[in-house]
Amino acid sequence: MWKYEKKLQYPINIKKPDAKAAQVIISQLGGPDGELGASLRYLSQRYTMPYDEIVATLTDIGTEELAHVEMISAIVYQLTKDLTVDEIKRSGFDTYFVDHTTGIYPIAASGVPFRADYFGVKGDVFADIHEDLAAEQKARVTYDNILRLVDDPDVKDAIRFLREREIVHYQRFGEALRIAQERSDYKNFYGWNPEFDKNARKNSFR
Amino acid sequence: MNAVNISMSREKLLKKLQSHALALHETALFLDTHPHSKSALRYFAKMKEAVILLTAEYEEKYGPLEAFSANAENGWGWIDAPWPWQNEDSFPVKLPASNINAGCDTSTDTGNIGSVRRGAPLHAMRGGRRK
Repeated sequence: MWKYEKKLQYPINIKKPDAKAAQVIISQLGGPDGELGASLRYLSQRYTMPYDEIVATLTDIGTEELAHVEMISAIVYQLTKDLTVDEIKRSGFDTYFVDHTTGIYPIAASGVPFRADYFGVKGDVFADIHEDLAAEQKARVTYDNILRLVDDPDVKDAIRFLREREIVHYQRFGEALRIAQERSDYKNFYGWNPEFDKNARKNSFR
Repeated sequence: MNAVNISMSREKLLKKLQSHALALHETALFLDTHPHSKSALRYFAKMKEAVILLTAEYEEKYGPLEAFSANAENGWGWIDAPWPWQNEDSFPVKLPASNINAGCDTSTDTGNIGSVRRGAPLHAMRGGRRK
């Protein structure tokens, strides 16, 4: 179960509408390395995760990603809320506007709606943690690219915060990987899948 | 105090709460992979105390942060804006609730600062630190 807190994780106060910026930033909502996929990835992977430290890490980072979904949505909302029809036509935002007006809908910058195949759940601790490490790096690169494309300091400030979080999460997943390795047969990490082979935990080095 | 000053001080207190809540969350993430770190446990306790106090102060002044922490005795303040994505520009605090509710029973609107309701208690699940 979850509780909602009526505050953002980090303040967002954008004064200038900018439909072009909104169109690239929305990729971190519904795009291939976006926050929605991140949240679903971790919150889905945790059920069969054999080690408590990693279950907690996936739960808490997955929950934080929901707060990032809200932050990205807030950025897109504030960038698009005072647009005139003229600005919508000039900026190219019209292709989004025709389907969603200024409502917030999870799509990639390319216009492809959110897809569940942006994330994986393999049911194997090493496969999944490696996916998580890669996902944090890919999200970091997307934020780096957004920082190359936008100028407004109010937008950049919030994007920099989100970028920093990817680096912290990468660090925590690195520790999760080390924990999983320490509890595996050091001669063959892949001898058992502790998420499926029931004897693996008995044989583990916990 | 005018609406601009109210929103400025609200923002300042909120930012202080956000920064302490981030420190608390960051420490929780660290403890997930270092559950026996004594210094992290100490820091967690310190930040938790700060977040509880700042949450109580914020809710007392500007209304509930969680639906269950709303003070139902003074009306349902949970629905009052601003919502987190509404920056001060987009949602001016200047609209008094009594105008929004024109023609309705306004007896529950006393104590409002603009559309922000005062005097909400802390969430019981946060340790019941009531004022």
